[in-house]
Amino acid sequence: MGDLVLIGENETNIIESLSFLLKRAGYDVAVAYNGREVLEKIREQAPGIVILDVMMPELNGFEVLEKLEEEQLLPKTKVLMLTAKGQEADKKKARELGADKYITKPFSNKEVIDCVGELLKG
Amino acid sequence: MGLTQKKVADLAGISISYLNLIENNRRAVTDKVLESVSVALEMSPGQLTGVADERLLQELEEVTKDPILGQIEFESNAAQEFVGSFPEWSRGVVHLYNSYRDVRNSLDELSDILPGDMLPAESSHRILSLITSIRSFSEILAEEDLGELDRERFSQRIANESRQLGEVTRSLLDLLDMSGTESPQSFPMNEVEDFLIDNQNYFPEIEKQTERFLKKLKSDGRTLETALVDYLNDNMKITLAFSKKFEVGEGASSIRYNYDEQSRKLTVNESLPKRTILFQLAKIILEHVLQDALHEITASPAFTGEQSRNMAFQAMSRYAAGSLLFPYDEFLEEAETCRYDIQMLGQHFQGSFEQICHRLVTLRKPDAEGIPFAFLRADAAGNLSKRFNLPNLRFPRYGAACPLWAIYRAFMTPNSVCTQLARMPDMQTFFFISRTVSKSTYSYGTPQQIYSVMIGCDAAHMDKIIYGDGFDTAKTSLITEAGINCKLCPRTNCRHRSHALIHPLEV
Repeated sequence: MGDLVLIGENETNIIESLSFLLKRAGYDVAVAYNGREVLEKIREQAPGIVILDVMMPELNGFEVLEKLEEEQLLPKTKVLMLTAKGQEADKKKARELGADKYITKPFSNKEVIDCVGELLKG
Repeated sequence: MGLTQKKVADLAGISISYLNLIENNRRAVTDKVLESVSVALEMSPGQLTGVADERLLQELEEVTKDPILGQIEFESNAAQEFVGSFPEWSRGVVHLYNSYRDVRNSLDELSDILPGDMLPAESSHRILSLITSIRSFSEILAEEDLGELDRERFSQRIANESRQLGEVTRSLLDLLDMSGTESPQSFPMNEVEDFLIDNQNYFPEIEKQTERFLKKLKSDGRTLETALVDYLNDNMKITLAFSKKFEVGEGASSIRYNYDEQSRKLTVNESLPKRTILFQLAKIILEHVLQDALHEITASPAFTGEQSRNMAFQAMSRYAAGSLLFPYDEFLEEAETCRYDIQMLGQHFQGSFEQICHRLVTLRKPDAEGIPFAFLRADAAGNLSKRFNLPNLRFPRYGAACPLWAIYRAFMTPNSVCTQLARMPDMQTFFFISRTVSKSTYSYGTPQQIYSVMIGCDAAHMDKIIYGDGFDTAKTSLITEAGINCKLCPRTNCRHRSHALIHPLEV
């Protein structure tokens, strides 16, 4: 179960490239297209890691983090924030809310795959 | 609730007749009785006394007065009936309205940051997503061990994404092309302020014509005051009268001036300062003499409606009056000689602090330019008006400015000049000069109109200004670390912060 990666992202093109890269790296991949779906899939499937976009419909990435914290789901699932926001304040907010790592778009494939590998190992 | 009057009286521990008197507002209700009755009826004391309803009513009335509902005519007691009959719906309407106002304010403040060049958040997010996926697909394509099918699939994706990127960019460019046109919802005052800023608050045609007119007025050696009164009489057939008898009440203008079209008589309150009367005379006369030039300027497409055109006409006729009373070349020379001493210029040209500041901001004639100043005025509640920005110093269009600015500090020391060296978060330093100005009151109980007026310039010009003596940009103890306003200021540890910093993408 630890090798399941959940992609929380609403941009289908990004989902496609991430899915391809992650599957090729040997992970199982699940996809959620909005914040609410991310929460549901984390509850149901307990993925080892969620790649979480901040700008998502219904619940944004920060709101998802808050809910995960409330439900004490964070220790089981690592969080890699993936977003357009590069500001220090947002990184700080993500860290405070319990995100394990923060990558800004446009990212390199290697950066994401390395990050996922590191977080799952740690 | 199905409670009889007797039951309520019993539960509250009072007699029916006393309850009756209270219900009919014939007895004042004590706190103790109010509490017993509210417990008996399971309602809060606020609900019983109508305090809560009163607040709701005020809020709802504010909603009905918003310009967005300007087309709807509400009956005078409609809000009261609505609150009385449908309190929950009323609360709902007020809640929705407050949410709308919050979003609207945030948007307005965002448009302040970079009005012309900020990418709309949605487009910038879309562009970034497209770039991200193109980069990612390209990196995949660059790998040698990619299967033929995958290679074809990802090539196709890149082609699609690139096409979409082109479309988004084009629509964005179209949007930026429209940046010169005004939004239909822009406020008339904003249009006038933007127009002044676009023209650097310098209007050569008006300057030329007032200069010519001034020469004509003074050609026979009369004082300007006499010449203006004569002109009003002889050329405009308006007689000027001074009076002590002015009605005190609503409409400040009626306290100061009164013009009767039929008798062509202009009556001026004789207690007004001479400089105020002179300025008003100059304005009235120039509205007549320069009418073609003024109408030509206000016919600019920058003004989208009659209201903004009228406001612009008033602003431009005040500009003309200033240029007549404070002739450009003479004023600039005097300003440079006295090192922009506003009080000294006021004495020399018989102008008020505010009038002199206004004129200083117009000294932008090519080849004969004064220090580029910004101008701002605040009332005691902190509301800003008469904004004139500099390219690198943009005043907030909505809400208040940074509470640390000299414009607010001036209220603490009324009638004395307040100076400040202020450094913005982008490390640009400005020199601010401010002072309160007040209009006379005419009777006891009439609240005095008091404003703080501020001009500001790049600190690089400080040595040319008398008020800058003693300041030193190298000494940090003399510099106020300020911002534009809280919502746009990144100084998160500032103790004066009253609003959280807003982030463009969070709207």
